[in-house]
Amino acid sequence: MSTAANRSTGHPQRGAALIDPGSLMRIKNLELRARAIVEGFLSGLHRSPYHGFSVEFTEYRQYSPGDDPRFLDWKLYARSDRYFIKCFEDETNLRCHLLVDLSRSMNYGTVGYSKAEYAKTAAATVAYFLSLQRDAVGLLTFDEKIVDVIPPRFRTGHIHHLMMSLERAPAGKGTDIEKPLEQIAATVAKRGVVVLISDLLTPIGALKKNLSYLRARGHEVVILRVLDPREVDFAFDQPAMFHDIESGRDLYIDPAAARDNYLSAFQEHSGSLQTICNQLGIELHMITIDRPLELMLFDLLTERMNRGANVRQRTPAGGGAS
Amino acid sequence: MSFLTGAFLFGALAIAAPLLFHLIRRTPKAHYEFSSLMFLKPSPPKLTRRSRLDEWLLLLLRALAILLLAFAFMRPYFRTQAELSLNDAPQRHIAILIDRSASMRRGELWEKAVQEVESALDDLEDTDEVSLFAYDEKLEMLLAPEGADSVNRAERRELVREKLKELSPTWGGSNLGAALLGVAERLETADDTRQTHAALQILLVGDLQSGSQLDALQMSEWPETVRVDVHAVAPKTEGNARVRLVETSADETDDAGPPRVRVRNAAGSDVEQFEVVWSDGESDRSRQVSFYVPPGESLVLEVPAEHGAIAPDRVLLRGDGPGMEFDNAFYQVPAIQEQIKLAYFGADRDDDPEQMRFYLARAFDETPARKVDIEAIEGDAMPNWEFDSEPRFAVIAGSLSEAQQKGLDGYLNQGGDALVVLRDDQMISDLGKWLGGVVSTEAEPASSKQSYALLGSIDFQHPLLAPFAGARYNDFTKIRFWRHRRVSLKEVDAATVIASYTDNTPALWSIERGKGTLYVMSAGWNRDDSQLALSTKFIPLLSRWLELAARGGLAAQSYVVNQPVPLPPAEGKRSVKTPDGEVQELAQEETTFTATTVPGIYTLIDAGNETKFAVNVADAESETDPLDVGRLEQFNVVLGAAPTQAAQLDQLRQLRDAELENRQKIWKWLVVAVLALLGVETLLAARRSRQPVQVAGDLA
Repeated sequence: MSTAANRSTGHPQRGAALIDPGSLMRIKNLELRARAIVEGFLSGLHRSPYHGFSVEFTEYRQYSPGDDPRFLDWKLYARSDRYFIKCFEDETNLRCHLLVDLSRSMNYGTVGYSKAEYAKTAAATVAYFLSLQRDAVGLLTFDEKIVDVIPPRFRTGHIHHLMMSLERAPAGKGTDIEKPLEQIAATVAKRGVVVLISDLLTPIGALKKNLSYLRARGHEVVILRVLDPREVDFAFDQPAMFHDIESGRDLYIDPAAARDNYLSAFQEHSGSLQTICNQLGIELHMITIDRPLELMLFDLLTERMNRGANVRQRTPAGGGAS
Repeated sequence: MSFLTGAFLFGALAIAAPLLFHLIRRTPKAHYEFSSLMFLKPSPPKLTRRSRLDEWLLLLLRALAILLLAFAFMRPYFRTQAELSLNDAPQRHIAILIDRSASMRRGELWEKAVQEVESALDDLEDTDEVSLFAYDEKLEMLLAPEGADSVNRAERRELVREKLKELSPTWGGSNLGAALLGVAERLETADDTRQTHAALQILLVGDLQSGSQLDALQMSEWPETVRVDVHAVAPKTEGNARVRLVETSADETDDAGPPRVRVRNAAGSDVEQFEVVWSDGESDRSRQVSFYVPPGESLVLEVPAEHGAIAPDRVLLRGDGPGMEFDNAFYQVPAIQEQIKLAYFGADRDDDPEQMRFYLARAFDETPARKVDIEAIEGDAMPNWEFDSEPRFAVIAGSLSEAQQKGLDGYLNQGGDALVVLRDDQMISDLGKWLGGVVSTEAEPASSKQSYALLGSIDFQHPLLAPFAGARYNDFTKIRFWRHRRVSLKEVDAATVIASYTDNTPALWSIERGKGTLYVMSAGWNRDDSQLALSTKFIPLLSRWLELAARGGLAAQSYVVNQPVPLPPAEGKRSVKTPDGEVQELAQEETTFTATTVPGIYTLIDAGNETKFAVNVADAESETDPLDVGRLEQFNVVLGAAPTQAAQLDQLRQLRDAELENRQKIWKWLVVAVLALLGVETLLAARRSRQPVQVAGDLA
């Protein structure tokens, strides 16, 4: 099954050249950066109106045989000459929480900028994109404790405030992903989308517990796992003292000897993470920070589309629509 | 094979350097940061073929070069001569010189000094020779350096210990300079006699107090071969105070105030409060007078004495630090004013400043010790001098009548002294015969005031002028004689000319008359004749006449310990009673009493007459501040211990080794070998570096 979004955004790079993340990161202002990405991304959407990805990303969908014609948007039909089904959710506006990990390990980066920088940009991009759709976006940055909390709102200046907060967020210390997740689970009553942007270089056990809580509260969880290419391929060439940014520990490591073990341990960790996410119904996107952010956004939205379709397949006629 | 500088063997450790560098090279230089090491395990560096020693031959060559170089620096040589024996180095001769002056009586100083000597004896080498000396004012040799050959060395040391046990400090002053010189001379003489060429050393043990006399060192040159090793001992407390009676000056005699006492406190003393009291040896004879004397200062206060049946004869100081009492008593013969009668033959008036009697009367002011009465005899009569009222001295300033000449003859024969002043030619002609044949050599008197005469030759050996012999006092050139009688003494038998004028005519001479002495002057001290009465010599000269005339008594009443007391001519059997009550008989011919070994009041008993004199500890002995040893160096005294025989032997051996090594010069050959090795190494290294690179590929 294909959706309008799917079709229209199938090749976003066709319309506009992708922006190199390195040069993008040279833009100091985070808001400008986010705008550049989103507008570049939208310009590549061809015929699609940007509110094609509206509230909940599933407000409109293309009519398919068997749909209730009552929900056809006739006005849209008049404009676009296409049938769209207007899906009414019980919440008209999405509440999105962006959880940005700013721990020490996020300071690592071998491509000219750090994972933290990339994560902040990604968060800003998603926030900007959502604000264009008049969705309420909140922010929570954390390292070993919660640094900054901005509740989700939609009003004038909120997105700017959020950008400022992201921009001044300092590089953190340790990582404790448990607390922020616990806090979200405990404090956010209204269901929404939780976007966790982190490298997730933590033990799996605790992560599983807290993600389960979130899901149990009815939140939809999306994880953007931000990694440095070196963390994925461990492409070091000579023996050296390795300094652990997070713990300050030094280890003598000969990459030639240690690479295989590392890769298998890393993949095992990633595999376990993927298994958990599958079990809990969480979207997991693994992104290396040399990947253009438009693609990140594209991946994210594509996944949402597919997911929306899947959900609808399970609950026909708009799921919760009543 | 022996080595001159063995320490360079450590240089051979440098062969560890290439190995070390090799290892250092293997440690990782690279440092990476990484986000998380949770997926990593430490992988310690493995010893691959690259980290092994590949070029072992090159390494061996380099190590050998370093080793040979270190070996060359050690300056090896072959011993060819026989080892040195102890006989090759001169042995030491150590003269122990211990201070036993009064200041060593302080606290536990003496015990410390003895301990110091004993520990020095223990530290001696077996071959060292020892002699023992002690000093206060005099140097005493207790164990002579000369006899060292005859007695076994160990026995000599025992002998020193025994002698040391018998020693104790005296009351004398410390003449350190003379003692050092004396010992040095003895050492040198003994060494010369025995031809041993020993290292001579004086081991000086004492308190080295600043009052030690060093003048003797100035007089003669210190022998370079003798070293002085100073072992100073110090008491626990530095303070010491002393008490002295202040002598009343001549212009203060009129008001006979109470005696004044000076208390001096040594610098660094921790006691400031003292009491002074007069005593007769048994009980206090005055009230205590408190003295507050800060350290390093002195204070004079009046301490009135109470005269009773027994006059107080000592001033006692109380409150001095414990063990510092040795100089806390000052002895003084109870003051009894001596009544002296002086006869003056002449018609001068007492109040006429042009005349001689005017000056004579004023020269003898009354002092607490002496009152001089001048009996003027005018006219021709001769007073009848009984034994008691006989004057001590007679001055004849005018012509004498027959009776007077006769009377004076008798006076002189019994031991009286007289002075005749020839005031004019008339007197010469009147008394010339009586004086033994003095005649005038000129018809006219020398009346010209434009010229004057000076004393040309003066006999300072004569007892009369002996006190003026010192350089500070022997200038008589300021006394001008306007008029004097030119006389000839050719006729006079046994006339001793004491002084004569620049024209060689006698100015002052003496003639022995019986037991007495007759002095004659050819000019007077009246203003017409000379400036004698105005000169500084006048009063001392007159006093000296009185002193010489007082034959039965002592010249002075106060002496210091060990100072010989000149004795007056014996009248009969004489003895001296010492302060501890002992009576010492004196031989008839003795002229001095030398046993003044203890401070206190001595009594000279001469034919029933008792004359007391006081003996005190020398002032300098109370100056107990430590002497700066550097002052000895100013006199070229070589300080420091002489090297032991073993040390000298070592030095000798070193010298001999250096000479041998210098002759053999093995190190040069070793350097040549090193150069050769380095050449081979360079060639080898060059060859290896040209080999194909594939070897490296294999190694990787």
